[in-house]
This record gives sequence, structure tokens and C-alpha cells, in this order.
Amino acid sequence: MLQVKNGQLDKLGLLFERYNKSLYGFFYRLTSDSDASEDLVQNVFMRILKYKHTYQGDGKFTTWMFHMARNLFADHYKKSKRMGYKEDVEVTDKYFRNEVNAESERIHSEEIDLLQRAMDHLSLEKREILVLSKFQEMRYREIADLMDLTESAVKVRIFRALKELRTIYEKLETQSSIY
Amino acid sequence: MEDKYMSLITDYIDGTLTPDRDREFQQYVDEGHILMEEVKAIMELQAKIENAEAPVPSEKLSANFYGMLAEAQRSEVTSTKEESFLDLLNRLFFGSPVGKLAFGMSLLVIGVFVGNTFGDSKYESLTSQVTDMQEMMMISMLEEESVTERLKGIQMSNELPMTNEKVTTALFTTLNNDRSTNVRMAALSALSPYTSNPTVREGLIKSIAKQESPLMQMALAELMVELQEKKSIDEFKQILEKEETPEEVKTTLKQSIDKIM
Repeated sequence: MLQVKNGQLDKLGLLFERYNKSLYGFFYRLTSDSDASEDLVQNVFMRILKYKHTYQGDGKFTTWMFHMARNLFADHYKKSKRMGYKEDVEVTDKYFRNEVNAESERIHSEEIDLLQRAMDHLSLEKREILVLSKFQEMRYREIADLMDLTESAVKVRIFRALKELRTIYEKLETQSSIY
Repeated sequence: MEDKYMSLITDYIDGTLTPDRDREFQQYVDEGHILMEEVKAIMELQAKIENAEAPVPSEKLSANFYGMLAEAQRSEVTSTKEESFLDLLNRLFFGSPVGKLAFGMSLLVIGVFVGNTFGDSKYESLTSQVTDMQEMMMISMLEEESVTERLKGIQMSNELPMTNEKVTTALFTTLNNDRSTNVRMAALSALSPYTSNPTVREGLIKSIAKQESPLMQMALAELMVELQEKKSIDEFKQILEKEETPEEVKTTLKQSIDKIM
């Protein structure tokens, strides 16, 4: 990143290769919207370029990057809330296309789908902390830095989020076994 | 559930309990403060999360990113080219709101100072110096690589007197030669309010035959109809004779000529 800051813009390509999937995962788990997630990833890298002069090189690069990602997501969230709910055709399509796949694959993808649906029911704050710690496998220390919390507060919040996720997951599981 | 139990359970699930904390954990389990059933359910859920496939972005993401990077590199190259004094002034004063404010304030201070000290004639000379500077700035902006900068240059010309030959010449050069239709169109709109000036009017008529884009040809035709400029007919006829002129444009131009005649 320091090389990017010093004007070696081609090095941004390396950062992109290293982090685009992880950022995409972060946004996708929060939005369940693949197009919006791709736009948001693109925006993160645009911001990195725009604000490269503000990178001090002291903290971890990923913390700085996720700081931008969180801000961008907050803006996106505010905007999409104003515009109302939008169904992601791609996700729905994928769900129906699975009918032709093998049974085991169907169960597996339904399980993931169920997990994602359960995630969607969590409050934004809980969803975010779970995505960072469980899906992004970020350390408690890093999350604490990012969210300006103590490490033990992070652990407590993750636990609460997991507990709620489990309740929702079980409820959805029962519902889907009925239908 | 108390916070201390949650923190202990988290460490238990992560397998990071120290021997002391492990004893503490067991004690709370024995006392019934922590339910192992609940802990196990959460561990199962966590395993599901860990096994979940990571969502994968489409090819589009990569393509868009590298497109953006290439664009950024291009603009970086042009901006790091040796900067002229004018560019520097421009960046200093118009690059940020603070710069703009500083520019405004300094003009005001200079104005008041000059007004008090030298009286009218000196003030006029200073005004003309400021106009000269704006003029140079505008001309240099019209030569920029970036379309946005060139459009800004045209916008700047609105604040300058159109009787100024340098300004009109620069705008005509842009109108006749700029690569971007948008910029040429902006130059046309900047010039069109001044058709009462014979030089501007003449220049616009001459520009007709130089335009290759149908959009520009039609915009000029519209203007000439408005002005009822008979001299433009010969220029339009030149376009009509060209084979590459699209039929739609020819029809519109013929209609325009009829309206002028």
C-alpha cells in the first residue's frame, strides 16, 4: 500500500487481487445483493486511490481498508433503505436452477441459503460483527480497532449475535421442513 | 446471561481458554450458569459458517477494476507532467473550496487596498490584469487532456468579455478541433449568445463545413435558422454534397435551408 501511496498505481492491482474476494464476501454477506456488492468493492478501491495520501502505514492495511468498506456500506444502506427492498434476480435464479442439480448439492446450497437468510434477519450491527469475525476471520483485536471497542466487548457482541443467529436459523429450518 | 460467561464461552469455542479460565468455565457449567447444550449448538452453527462457501464475484468486477485503474494511471501521468505556473495557480486557487475562498478573499483585499491607495485608474489596470490572468487560465484549461477540465475552461469563458479576441479565438479553435463532441457543443453554446458580434457570427458560419458530427451539424443548422443567416446556406450545401453525410442529417439540413430561404 505504501508503494501505491508513493504513486506506483500498478501496485493497486496486487492489493485488488489479494482482497477483492474478501471484500466481496463482506458486502455480499451484508447485502445478499451481488451487483451492489461488486459496485461497493469497486468503490472501496476508488476510495483507496482517492485517499491514498491519508494512509499512514502504521496500522494494518486491512483495518484501514475495512474502515472505508464499512463507511461505504453505511452510505449504501442509507440509500437502499430510502429506495425500498429490491429483489436480487440472480440469487432467486440460482435458487431455482438448483432444482436440476444433484440432491446433495441441493441440500448443501439450501443450507448455505438458509444461513444467509438467517443472517439477513439479524440487525445490521450483529450481522456486521459476525461477518467480520466468522466469515472474514478477522481477529478480535482488529475488530476492536475497527469498531472502536474493547476486545472483550467484541467477544460479548459476537456471542450475542451468534446466539440470535442460532435462534433464527432454527426457526427458518423448522419452517422450511414444514413446506 | 452475564458478559463474563459470554466471554468465557467464546474462548471455549475458539479453544483459547487458559488453564485458569478453563477451571472457571467448568465451574460455571457445574453450577448451571453455562448450559453445555447451548454452547454445543453454537459450535455447530459456527462450523456451518466456517464450511459455507465464500461467495465469488463475477468477471465483471475484475474488468471494471482494471478499467478504473488504467483511467487513474492515465490521469496521473497527465497531472504529473511538468506543471506550468498557471497550472499551479489554478490548482492552488480552484482545487479546493478553501483555495477558492482564499482566491476570493485575496481579490477582495487587493481590491480594497488598491481602491484606497491608487484610485480609479490603477484599479482599472488591476481589473484588466485579473481578466488577463483569467483569460490565460481559460486558454490553458482548454488545452487540458481531460474533457472535464476543458468543459470547465469553457464555463470560465462565460465570465470573460466576448469582445476579447483571444477568448473567441480559443473558443473557435475548440469548436472546430476538439476531439469530444460534448466539448465542441459546449463551445457552441458559449459562443451562440454573441452572434450579434460580426466576428463570432462569421466564425460560426465558417465552422459549419468543419463539423463532421451530425449532432454538431444539426445544432448549427438550428442556430442558423434562428439567425436567418443566408450566408450559411453555401456551407450547408457543402455538407449535403458529402457522400458520408447520413440521410437523416441531409433531410434536416434541407429543411433548415428551406426555412432560411
